[in-house]
Amino acid sequence: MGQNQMILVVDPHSGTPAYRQIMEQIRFHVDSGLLVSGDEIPSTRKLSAELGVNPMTVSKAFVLLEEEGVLERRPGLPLVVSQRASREQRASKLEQLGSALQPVATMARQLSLETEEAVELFRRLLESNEE
Amino acid sequence: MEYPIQTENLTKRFDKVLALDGVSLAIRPQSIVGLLGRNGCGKTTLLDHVVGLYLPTEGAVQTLGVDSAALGHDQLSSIGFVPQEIRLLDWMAVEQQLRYVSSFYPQWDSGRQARLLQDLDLDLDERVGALSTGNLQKLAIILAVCHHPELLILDEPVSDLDPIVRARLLEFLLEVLREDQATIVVSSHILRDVEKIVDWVVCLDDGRVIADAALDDLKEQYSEWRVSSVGGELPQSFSEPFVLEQQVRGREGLLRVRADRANLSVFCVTHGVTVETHPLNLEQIFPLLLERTEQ
Amino acid sequence: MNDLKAFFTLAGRDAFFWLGALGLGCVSIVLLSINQPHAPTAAHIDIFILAAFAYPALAGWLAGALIQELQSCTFTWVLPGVQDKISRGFFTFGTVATLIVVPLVALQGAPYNPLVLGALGLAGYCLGSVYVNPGTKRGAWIAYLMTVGVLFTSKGLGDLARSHPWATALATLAVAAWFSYRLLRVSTFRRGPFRLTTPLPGAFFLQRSQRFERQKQAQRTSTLSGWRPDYLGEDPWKWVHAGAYEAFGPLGFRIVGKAINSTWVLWLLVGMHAWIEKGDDAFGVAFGKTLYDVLFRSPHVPAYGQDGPYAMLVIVIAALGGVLCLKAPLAPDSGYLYPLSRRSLAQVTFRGAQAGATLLFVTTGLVCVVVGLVTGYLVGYETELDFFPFFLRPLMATTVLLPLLHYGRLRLRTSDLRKSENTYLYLSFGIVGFVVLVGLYTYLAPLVFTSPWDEFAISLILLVTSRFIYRVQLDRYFTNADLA
Repeated sequence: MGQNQMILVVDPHSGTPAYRQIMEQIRFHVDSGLLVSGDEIPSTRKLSAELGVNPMTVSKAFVLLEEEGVLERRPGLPLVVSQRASREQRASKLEQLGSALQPVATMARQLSLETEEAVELFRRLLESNEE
Repeated sequence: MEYPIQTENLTKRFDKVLALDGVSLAIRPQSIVGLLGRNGCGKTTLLDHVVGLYLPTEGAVQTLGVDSAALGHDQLSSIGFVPQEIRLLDWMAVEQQLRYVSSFYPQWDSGRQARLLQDLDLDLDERVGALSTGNLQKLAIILAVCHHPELLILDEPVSDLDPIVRARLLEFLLEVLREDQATIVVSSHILRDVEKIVDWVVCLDDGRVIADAALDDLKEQYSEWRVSSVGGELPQSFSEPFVLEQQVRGREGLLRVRADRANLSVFCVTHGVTVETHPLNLEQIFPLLLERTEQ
Repeated sequence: MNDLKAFFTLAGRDAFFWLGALGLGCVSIVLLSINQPHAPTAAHIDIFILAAFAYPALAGWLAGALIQELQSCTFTWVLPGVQDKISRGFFTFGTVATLIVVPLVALQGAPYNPLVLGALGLAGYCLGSVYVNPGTKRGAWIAYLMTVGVLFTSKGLGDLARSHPWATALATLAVAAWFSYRLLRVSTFRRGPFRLTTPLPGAFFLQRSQRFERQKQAQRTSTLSGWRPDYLGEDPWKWVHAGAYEAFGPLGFRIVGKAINSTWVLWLLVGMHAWIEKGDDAFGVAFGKTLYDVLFRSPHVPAYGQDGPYAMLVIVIAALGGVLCLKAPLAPDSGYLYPLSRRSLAQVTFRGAQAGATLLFVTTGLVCVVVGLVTGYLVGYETELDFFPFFLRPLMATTVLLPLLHYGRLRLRTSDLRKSENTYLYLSFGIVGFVVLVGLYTYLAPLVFTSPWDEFAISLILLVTSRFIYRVQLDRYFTNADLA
């Protein structure tokens, strides 16, 4: 149970609030296995210094992730990835992929593609990457 | 919660000009507040009221719990102020100027002073009168922060600095926030800089407050909608009050709105369209803030 | 000790010492000259009172200047405890100055209680501290009037000091307290610009910039009405006109009024001289006779009294020329981007300088002649102008020597000296030197020239020569120098 190094990137000029960007990236790290249960998260102070953002932004992200159950607070110790997070990985993963696919689906509809064509395309793309 | 800056219906008239009109604000402690607005909207006037330079025509201003006209030794020791027009003792060398101001603050941190001089690349021996505007700004900032103020007020502090120095300075402001638990109010035109560090935004227009909200809230409220009709042409224009800017041509439209999910669903159903939402950054939100007052 | 540093650090620079030395010299010369036994003023002056007042007033003037400079800095507004620390330094300096002056004066045999002298000294110090920014504000004017009052009534003050020492001391200390309170109160240090009068009206940069902004606004509205498109063109004289507009703008002919206002010192001295020498004449007659005498020094009319303020006329005329050259040269300032070639710039600068000098000569000459003749008529003098009027000498000297100042100003503007802290010091020395040269010419000329026509001829030759040299230097400068 060490502390994985994770690199987060925040773009302050994107329209997405910074705290949301942090949340999404931490969730992604958890779902993709780069962070596992019990891994420690850097402190608010340290992370905000590293990212060059307001510490309130970081603490807001942490609080919300805690409410979601992705992170866990232990008394007197840094935040960790919760046990539950790893268990609920599958649901969360699908959720993440779902929101990424939403604009793609819209595009497919706009291009008037048949559902089967689009799905076939998606399958081919998935399989080609596995090689 | 005690607010470091609190104004109540602050109004200021200069002869016939109304510079501030009923400004009521409460700045939260330990936050970085961005004060935005077009030229001449009253930003500098407001900040000058906070340090007690101007006295309100009507209303009240309280800084660090004390009426701004009566700021005493204790309050002043915890305030750092960088004005927009900087005048220092031109005949002194940078080092002398620093030494002079530091003699008024027993808690002066020479370590921080030395580090800033190095980071911001300022020469100790140069005469203050011969400094370029950029260097003058750097010096003014150093003079305002080395005594670990609780309240730091900066009026256009980075306008003449190059991008490297600006970035360093903004990082430093975050450090001040972390280490000194300070409240920082920054007024700046350069929205990209402001966006990087602030958590709260106050926007003025013509002396009135037109926005007083967390930056994140603003980013969540304002968005861009790419509208495409499911069938048939779109109306010439959309009359919903939350639509602030729009461009409609045929079956597609580009809208900038201040709306939430409920508005979105109702909109889609009412007009029979699909909408793709995109977030907006501060530079894009700013003109929308101003537009609301014109409606 | 640390607290005193707040004030005394401000004094630790070259300009302060030079100004102090210059001031000490000037005050001492003036006091010594009016203390001569044969001087007409001796009977009306108590030199001890004056000395006990003047030297601390000089110190106060310097101290006030330092404080004003600090008050106009933007970092001062939020400095904690600045008022207390500066006050301590201010009063220490004043006390030390008074403690030095009073024993010296007492040692010269002043028949006064040293405490009274001390109180007077402190009052002088505090009064002096509000000279720095002469403005239209009440406190500054009261200070000037009080100073003049002391100058005129030193004898009376002396009598008061002998008869009622304690009362006099208390009264003067009260005056001192009032002025120093106004100078040093918190609201003067951290004041919004729309509060009541401060004795140093220009002290606040913000206040000044507010006033400046309003003036600019006022100017903008009026300039549009005065400007015509045919003001622009290629003719060099159009550019001189542009330069004049830059300098005077919508002021137009009111500049003449301002110039006359600035000669108040002359009127003051004429008035003082008239008062002292009037004898049986009415004051008005005495004033008129003195004025006629100072302007013309006619051989047909005896000098009115002894030692009239001739020197002051010389100084005023020279200073007028100097200030005109420095503050309002009739050529476009190189700070503005005018589309002029270097050769054109040289031409325009030269013509502007000539136009300015000619204007000065003609206007001042006319004014002096008219005023002199009218005054002479009013007091019943014969007014035949078959002699060389006195005012004409310094006027011609000024006109001849003015290119020197113009050139100096041009060079100073673009040299490194401009960035040095002592620019104003150099400028002041420049003007002082100029005035001295004009004075020398005025007093040596009658010894050298026997007839006025000789004088005219030689002056004309000098005039042409000086312009020629100026033109050559100007051309060389504009061809080679960096203009930024």
